[in-house]
Amino acid sequence: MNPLRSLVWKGEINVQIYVEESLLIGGKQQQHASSKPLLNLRFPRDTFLPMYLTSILNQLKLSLKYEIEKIIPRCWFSYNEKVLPWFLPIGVIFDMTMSNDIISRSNDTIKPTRRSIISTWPIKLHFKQKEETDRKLPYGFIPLIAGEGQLESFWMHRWKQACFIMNGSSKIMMQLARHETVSFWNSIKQRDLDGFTEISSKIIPASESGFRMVPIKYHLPYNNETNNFESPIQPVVKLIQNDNSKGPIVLQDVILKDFPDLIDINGEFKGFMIAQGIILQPSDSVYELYSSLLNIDGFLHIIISNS
Amino acid sequence: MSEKSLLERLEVRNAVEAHYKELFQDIITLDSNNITTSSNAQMNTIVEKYREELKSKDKDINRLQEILDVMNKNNERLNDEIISMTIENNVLEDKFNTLNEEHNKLVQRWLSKVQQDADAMNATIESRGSR
Repeated sequence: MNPLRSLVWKGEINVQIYVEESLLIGGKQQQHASSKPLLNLRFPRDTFLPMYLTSILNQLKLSLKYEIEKIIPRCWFSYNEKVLPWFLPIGVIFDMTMSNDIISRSNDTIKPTRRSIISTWPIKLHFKQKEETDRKLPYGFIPLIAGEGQLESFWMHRWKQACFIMNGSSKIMMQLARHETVSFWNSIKQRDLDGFTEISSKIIPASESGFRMVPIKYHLPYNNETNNFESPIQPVVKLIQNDNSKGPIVLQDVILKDFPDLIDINGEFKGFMIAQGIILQPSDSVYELYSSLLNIDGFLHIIISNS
Repeated sequence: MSEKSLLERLEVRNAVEAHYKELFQDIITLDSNNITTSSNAQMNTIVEKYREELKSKDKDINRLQEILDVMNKNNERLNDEIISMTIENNVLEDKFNTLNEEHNKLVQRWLSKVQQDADAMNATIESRGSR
């Protein structure tokens, strides 16, 4: 077993869950959050938020105004009033929202703050009742009307995309037996790395030369000015050097294609790349990064900050 | 070399993110820890009952809110009517005033005309009498 993979797999984050007051018994109708976090939970980085929605609501059951089944299709989480997308792995959303903390904790020149040493992630649960006059869900938010099944099929599609990028067709995904796809999904739910590796190794090419392209998504960090998360950038990343120079493709080679302003006049690399909560070096090999840091949806999500 | 540094970075990440983890409950073991005891079950039924009550009260509130809305609309309509009536009243008063003035003028003119006639008549009678 690759020690890097198991370290990545074991990553967990501390999450504080606040709940909108109108969702609680005795809460006011106005929309302001409970001043104290109602739940302190530890989430695995490589999972999705909706997977734990029922457990979270079950914990709050005694203080909720409505039935859990009624809440699930019309609720969402936010960080600083910004709606969190449910279809990205939790760790990726965390890295996008907390990129400054991650940069400061790994950078010796920046003075460490309390938040960069003790990392907690405050998120808030919202709910919009169907009967309310202003019953619109936030702009750009896809409601989870089909619950976990919706998440599973979305995740499956993501893997098909990743498979297409890597192999040039989604045939391998289509050829997986029914019990294999079921156990693939279960390996994520039950946090079983061996089970996950067993199926994913069928999809991911065994060697560097087998890759047609590498499935990578670039994200911009959370920004106070925009209302929603920016849509990710999907770069074309090949592992073959154009000029016949030797050596593996490194991160700097591929990033500068889409972000040419990350290099200053002196040729120094400025800006930060974050994946799985760590700062990536421009000299890291792309193949190595992908094979050890890939997320559960088959993509390597990189957050790019130019500050 | 690159792999070692990746490993180190991941270890640092896990160590930092594990600070104070004892204050945070593990989400995976969450449901199994939640053993329903009898008092908990009792609590559940009570909460269930109150939730039902809350629901019916919420419905009442909605119903009353609707009534209030209708009443408010009626109120507004009546207000509009009052305003239109006042305007009509003002217009009529103006008309009345002008007519009244005209009437007075006419009466004045008529009176002066009658006076003239009477004076003329008197003059003729007087002149005949003196003859």
